[in-house]
Amino acid sequence: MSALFALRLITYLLVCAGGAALALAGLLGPVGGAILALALTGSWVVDQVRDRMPVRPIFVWALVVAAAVAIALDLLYLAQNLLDGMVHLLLFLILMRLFRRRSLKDLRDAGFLSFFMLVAASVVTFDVSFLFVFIAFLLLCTWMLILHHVVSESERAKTGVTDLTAGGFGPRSLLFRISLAAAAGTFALAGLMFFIIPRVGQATLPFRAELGKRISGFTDRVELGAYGEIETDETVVMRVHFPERVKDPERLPSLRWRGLAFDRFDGRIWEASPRRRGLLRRDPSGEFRVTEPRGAGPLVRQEIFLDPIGVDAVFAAPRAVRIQMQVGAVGLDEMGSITTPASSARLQYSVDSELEVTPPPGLRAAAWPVVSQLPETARYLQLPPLPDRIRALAREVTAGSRSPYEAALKLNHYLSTQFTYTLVLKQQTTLGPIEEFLFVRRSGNCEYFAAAMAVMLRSVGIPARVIGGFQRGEWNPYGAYFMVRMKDAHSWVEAFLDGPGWVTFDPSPRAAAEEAFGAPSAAVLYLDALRMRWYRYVVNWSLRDQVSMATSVHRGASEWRGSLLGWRDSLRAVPRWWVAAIVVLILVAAWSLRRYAPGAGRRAAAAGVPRFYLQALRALARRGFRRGSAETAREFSQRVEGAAPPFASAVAQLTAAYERCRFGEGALSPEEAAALDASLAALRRR
Amino acid sequence: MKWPAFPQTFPAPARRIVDSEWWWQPFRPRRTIWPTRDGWWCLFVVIGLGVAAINTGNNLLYLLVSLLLSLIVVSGVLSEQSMRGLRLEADVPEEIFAHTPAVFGAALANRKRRLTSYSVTLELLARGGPTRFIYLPRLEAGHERLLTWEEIPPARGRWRLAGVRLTTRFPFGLFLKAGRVMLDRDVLVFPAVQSISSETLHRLVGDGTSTIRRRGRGHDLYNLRTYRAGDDPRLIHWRSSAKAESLLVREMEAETTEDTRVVLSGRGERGAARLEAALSEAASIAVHLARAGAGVELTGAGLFVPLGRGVGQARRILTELALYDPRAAGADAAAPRPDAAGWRSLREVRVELD
Amino acid sequence: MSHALDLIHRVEASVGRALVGKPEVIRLAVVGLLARGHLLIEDVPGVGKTTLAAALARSIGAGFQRIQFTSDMLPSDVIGVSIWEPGKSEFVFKPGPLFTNIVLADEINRTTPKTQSSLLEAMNEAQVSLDHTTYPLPRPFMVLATQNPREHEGTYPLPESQLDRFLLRIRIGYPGAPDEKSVLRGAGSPVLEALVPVLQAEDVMALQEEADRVRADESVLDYIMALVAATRTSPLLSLGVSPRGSLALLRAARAQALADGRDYLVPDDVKSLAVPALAHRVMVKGRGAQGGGLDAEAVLRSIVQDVPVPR
Repeated sequence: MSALFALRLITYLLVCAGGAALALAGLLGPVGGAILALALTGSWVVDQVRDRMPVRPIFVWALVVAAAVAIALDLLYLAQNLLDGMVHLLLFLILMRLFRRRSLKDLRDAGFLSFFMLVAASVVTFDVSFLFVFIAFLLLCTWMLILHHVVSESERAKTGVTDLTAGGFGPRSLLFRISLAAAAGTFALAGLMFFIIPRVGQATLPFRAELGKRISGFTDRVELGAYGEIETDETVVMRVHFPERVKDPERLPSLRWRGLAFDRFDGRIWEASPRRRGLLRRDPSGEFRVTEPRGAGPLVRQEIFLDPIGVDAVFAAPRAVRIQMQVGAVGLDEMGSITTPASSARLQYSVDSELEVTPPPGLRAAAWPVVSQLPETARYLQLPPLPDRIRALAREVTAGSRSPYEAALKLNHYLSTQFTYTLVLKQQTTLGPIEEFLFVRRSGNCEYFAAAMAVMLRSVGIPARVIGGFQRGEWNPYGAYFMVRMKDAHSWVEAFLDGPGWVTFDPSPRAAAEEAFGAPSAAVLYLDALRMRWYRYVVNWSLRDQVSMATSVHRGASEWRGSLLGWRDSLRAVPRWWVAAIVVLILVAAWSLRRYAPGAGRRAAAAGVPRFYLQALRALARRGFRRGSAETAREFSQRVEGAAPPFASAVAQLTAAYERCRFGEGALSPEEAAALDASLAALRRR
Repeated sequence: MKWPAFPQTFPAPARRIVDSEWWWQPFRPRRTIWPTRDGWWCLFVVIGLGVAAINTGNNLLYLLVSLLLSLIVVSGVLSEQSMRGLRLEADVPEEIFAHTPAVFGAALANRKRRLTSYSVTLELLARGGPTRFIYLPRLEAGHERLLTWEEIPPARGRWRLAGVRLTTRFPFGLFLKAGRVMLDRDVLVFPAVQSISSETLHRLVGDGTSTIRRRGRGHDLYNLRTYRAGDDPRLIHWRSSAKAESLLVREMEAETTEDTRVVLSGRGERGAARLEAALSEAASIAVHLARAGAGVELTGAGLFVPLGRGVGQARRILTELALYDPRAAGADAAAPRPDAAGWRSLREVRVELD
Repeated sequence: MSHALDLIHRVEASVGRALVGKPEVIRLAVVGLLARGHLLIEDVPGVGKTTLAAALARSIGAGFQRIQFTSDMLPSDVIGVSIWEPGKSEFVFKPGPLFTNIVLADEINRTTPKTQSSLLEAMNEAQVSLDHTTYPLPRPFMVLATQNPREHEGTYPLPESQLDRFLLRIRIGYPGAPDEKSVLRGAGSPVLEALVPVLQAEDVMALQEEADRVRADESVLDYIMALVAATRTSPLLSLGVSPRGSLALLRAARAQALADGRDYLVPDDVKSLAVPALAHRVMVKGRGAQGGGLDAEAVLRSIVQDVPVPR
């Protein structure tokens, strides 16, 4: 493979990487991708046959003019917006370079222009796949730049390039190792710079980012009997991280992510009655105060990354006390549903929640069913006309209860034990959905359980509402966060109790049903952790993060000074994943720099070279020592002895024996042969 | 009349360095760095993307900007690694002759302990920039490589070399890192020395066909005569003495190439080409004679190199001829006359400058 | 074999006591001796050329003469002269200073080409021809000639064709600082007189014969040919190495192998001797007779670094 051929190949690969970036960003549809692939293949073929079949310049110019007109029309009329037009222009320029390649310059320009494909993609995407394209692009671009440099320098000086490209262009070639080391260094440095370059303020999302990625399904009401794929959609929509290192977060009681509350039921649909939504203002500390803590449960801070799912709800563990969010205001209605106007984009916010504990504190054995403290009591007791047997069932189940709490517990227990959880929902009768669930099918999904329990609570005079949100999700140990998928969408019930107020009840026996699914594989978890970090540390990296990184580094440094044990904390201050990545990169760089020794030495299979010496050469080559073509065995031996004293005696012995067998008439005695084998083994082992 | 004074010792002519900026040397940076065209593009793009990143707050743009920035930094580090510890020792041939290819050489040594230097180029400068390049893909630690090139001096006299410098664009071709310019100095170019034509050779051995035969300190026997007190006893010819039964001493023939005065006559008024050809001829004769062991003297209008022999004399004469300009010698500086003091009668070879 | 090595080590040790801190120069001198060659030492005065020659002569129990060349020296001053002996009525050959084992020809470029060539012819043929009679020179016979390369005034540089007659051209160079100090302390000159012969002339000749028997593998011969061929095709050289040069390199390499205690050649022998054995046999393009600019040694070094070594 000639150097020029390698350069061409790499340039094409670079263009492909740029194309991949565009495709991932949605700027290049399947049709566009196919056209691009076709054009690239075409230019490659044209390049091959150009010398044999010269193309008349008039055709080339006609083609160029036609393409230019097409681009202009495209920019003016066809393209959906300016960005698409620019991308088309960019692709046109690159392809033109490739088609009319005459010199190295055209290849280089094509390579440079493909960088702008990456730029175009960065404007509209924020997916983690950009990272992979970025790394691939970096590797290819360093390789291409070095290769271009070497080829153009030697072309200018009219000399060959064999010296640097010895060993071809494979993974063991010198050039590749240099470029790998350069790429590793560049990557590490780019990472460092990325975190350090001062940000002006808030990280914004790429424009148009919301267009492609909205996940549909979560609705602002609960409609019984109309379910699609929501329950099986595996897309991760929310990630909940505990920045304060909660010990064993999986053991936290009753973790679920509350979103919207519904109070009105018309027999089929639960929805929120027209709300009196208030706007919360930021308090001086920059937070939104939602409510006062009761002082009962543990306070837990969560850092939540929420993908746009089509509702404006802000999810958090109940009961949210404080919210920190980079928006001007959040809405809060009287049912505790928090909303934000910026819900069409990815949200990142922190919430302090006071978790509920069982039994709820401050329970009073108050009169039942009268609830005095709650305003608008009627609203939470509203019921559509119900068949009598539902009320009868509710009374039957709650019979003998001495308090509303006990009654609610009984109902909860009844539903979760006497009914089964299923996703297979089929209307079997013409009865109302609740009635069919309770008396005919006796199985359903969480919404049936929640709706039935709320209805039954209300029918016995306990104020209740249905809550829409997400269940806890899976714990991702690689990233230390909960991974909440679309299928984790969940409904449960809140009942108002005299004393503690609204208390959560979750009647659906869902966890037991879902255990059968089994845990996702480590690779899936790892990938999602990567995605989470990508969002957290790259896409959403902001001035605030830089400040907190600086302070934690500073604190870590002073702690480190203070005590020898402090090193752990200072390490903790830096994201651990990045530390690992940088260490790996340094190791890769060291590995590839390790063998900067002269190449060659493969044609040593010539006659007369003793086998043991060939083996020794191979063993040393694996350690990065290669004998140069003009280097004698003795010089090589001395070089190795100087650089690797542990091998000195073994190498010297092998070299002496080689000289004697190769150039003298010596033969090895059995003892000598054994000694040589030992030396050889020493070279291989250590 | 007084002869123009000549210095007794000559420095090696090629090593006369005319460097008017000697005081500036310690302050000059060892290496300069400047973006190439690609490098400028890269910088423009960094600035453009940087502005875009700040305006939009898009972190992926920040990522691309840091990619370009770190490419620049890595490029700087690697090229520094390549250039560091490289020692270039350029040398000028001691004798440079007009119109004759002169081989210039530079020994490039990598003085680093471990690291190989990659992709360095020796640029041979000319007016208006480098024209020729010697590319060295790699140079291992501790190794030395000889880089050579040829130059053809345009004319005799002082010749300003354009210089050479060591550069690298390694690894990405974005920046040009260059060492100091070397060899940008004046050297002295001798007149072209050709092999002596048979015609000239003829003139050297006299006007006719007979060789000059006279006593001298040569090695071939010229004559035998009786021993006189004071003769060198080593010259006694024992074989003949035995036959003649009296001590005979050998008189040796002078070297066939006897001491010669090269006389430049005329003032070069018939044009530069004629003058150059004549000076080249004079130089050829002088070098030929000096190599053969004869003493040579050189005279001309405003020019006098006293009798001497050996390589040193040849060089002295070449130096004078290289700088000789008969038209600038002044009207009164006529060729030396035979009656002047210190004049010795020597065989003369006349070279016409007109 | 080990006996030979022992003898050689004794000579080197003995010379080493007089010439401190120059083992590689001593080795080259011994190589020259064992290869029946002559040495051209190019150096400035006062770095121990005389000491080297005298110590070598004393160590092998051989005769030693120093000839200081001047411009008025005649061939007969070197090779000798036939003198009429009236008593015997016949010519008696009065041998010149050349008739000894080790000759130090000091500043050989100070004398006229005639005298130089008479010395070199004698050197080459190991005999002196005078008046139709030949007088063989004693054996072993070795000339260590010196010249000062920095001097141009009144010198007659040896023509290239004559340089070919020297097996090796070496430089002694200034001693390293610690060694120079020990010379100052007196480790050097008085030792010279105290040196005793460690082997006899016959031993030297036996060693020379042993050197001839050193085995040269086909690949090593090919390597020598490749080196020589590279000098002939090098664009930097106007004159490559003659066949005599390749023979000289082989002879020197054999001696070196013997001095290293081997009875076979390895490429290192050739590689390490290529510069001293060949540099004076080539002409660098565009260079005056005496020098400057690129020197042949640098060119040869770069050639040696490029020619592949047998595997």
